Amino acid sequence: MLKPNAMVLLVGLMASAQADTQPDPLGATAAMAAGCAGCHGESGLTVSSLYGIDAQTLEAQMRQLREGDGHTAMHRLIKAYDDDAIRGIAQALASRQIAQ
Amino acid sequence: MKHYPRRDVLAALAAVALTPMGAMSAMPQGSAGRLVIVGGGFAGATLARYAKSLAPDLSVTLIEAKKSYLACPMSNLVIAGQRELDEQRFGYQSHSFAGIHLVHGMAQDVDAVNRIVTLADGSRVGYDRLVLAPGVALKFDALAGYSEQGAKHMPHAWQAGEQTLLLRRQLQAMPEDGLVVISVPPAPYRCPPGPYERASLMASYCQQAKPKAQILILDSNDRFSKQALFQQGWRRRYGDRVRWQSGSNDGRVIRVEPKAMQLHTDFETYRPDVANVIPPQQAGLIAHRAGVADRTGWCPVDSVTFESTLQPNIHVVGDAAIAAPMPKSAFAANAQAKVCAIALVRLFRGLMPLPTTLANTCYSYLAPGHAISVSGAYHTQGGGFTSIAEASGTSPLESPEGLAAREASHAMDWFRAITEETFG
Repeated sequence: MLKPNAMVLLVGLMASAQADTQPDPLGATAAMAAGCAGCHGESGLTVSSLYGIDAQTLEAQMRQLREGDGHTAMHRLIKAYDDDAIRGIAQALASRQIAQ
Repeated sequence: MKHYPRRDVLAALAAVALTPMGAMSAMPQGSAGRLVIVGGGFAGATLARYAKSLAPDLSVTLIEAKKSYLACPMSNLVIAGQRELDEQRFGYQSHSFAGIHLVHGMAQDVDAVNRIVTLADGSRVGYDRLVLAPGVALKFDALAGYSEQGAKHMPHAWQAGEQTLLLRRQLQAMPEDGLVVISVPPAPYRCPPGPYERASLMASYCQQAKPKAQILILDSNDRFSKQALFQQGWRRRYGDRVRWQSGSNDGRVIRVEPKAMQLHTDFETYRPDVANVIPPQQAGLIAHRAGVADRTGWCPVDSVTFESTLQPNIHVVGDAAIAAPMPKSAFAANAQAKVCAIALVRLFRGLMPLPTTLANTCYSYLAPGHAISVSGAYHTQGGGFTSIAEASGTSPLESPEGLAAREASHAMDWFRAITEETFG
């Protein structure tokens, strides 16, 4: 049987192995992604919902929006985010939806 | 509200357990620390839910005097008779369900040394970190002749509730050729485009119900949010029904006589049928008691953690904080709350808080079903708020067909989304 300290260490190692695939909910891009729900909602009930969309699709949509010449608030705001940020935000949004 | 994968919670718990010394060792058993939030508006109510969902092991207490909250965004539609006040009302049931300790009481004082909040009934709430989200206090005494009593004749309607309904009743009761004066205080104040949206929606109401009525904005300032769009919209929709007088053109109201319905500028006296007097503002009073407000009446904060630069372990989010160029808006309050919640959980876990990017958008109605927007994004590196120029701006002046209607629908979507996230 494992000693308590070893248990803690094991849980920590398991968690860090999963951190490679799972975005950190306390990470920098998670903080950016947190902003999205202010308009787009959490439950998928609003019209401009991001609910149930995978990370790759979200990333492609955000990049397309950024290169587009539309006139909504989002067309302006998306220009604040570079490619890395967009990828991180997409992953954070998609992982939260899976978790729901 | 969000639910994070079980493995993330385990990871977080493991991180706590692995922290050998320091902050965690002093915590009560089973709790990662005590987070206390004062103020249940868009900032405080969001922060409580978000922090609890990120860190279920955190003891989260929300102190709010009122049993329900009346939201200001969309309340100009109530004044114009397009919406009912009850649609602005939100409760705190979801906070209780989430395991947040809800204390309905008025926070009266903060002992920053011993980390204790004292309530009006004498009860005391201890904290490890405190978040103050008190919103704005109206400075009635900063405008000669105005008072809380005076607001019964000249409503401010700048905190939603009976004041909103009073202004609506006055508008509906005024003569067909009545004059409405809106007095705008010096910036900064809550909701920078609010007075101008109000003028627009009042004009829209009058176009139907009071065809000869006029709306005059007496402004303490020389420019305002979305100015070109508002002025174009007024010209096109309302002709000269809406007039705006800038501060340097004798627009600043310096004294009012509520019972006599008179407003005075340096050179003129106005006797309108309806006077909407929006007084100067400052951070909510508890911020002053806690020593986190500076001489401006607002609260300087570090942009990464929203921790006060004047008192350690006290954070300030929402309208009360100095986050310029971020405006004092519900959108900004909600966005700041989430960033602050992440920073707080990192601090409780012994992790370094990280800078990020914050965003804001404010929609304003030119008429029911027609809206314009202003957006901004802000870097928080280095402790301040830096506007990102390419991400900031307004709806275009020559807008494509249908954009104003789309933006009105976005505005309603936004309201639904933000109130769901804030109140559940």
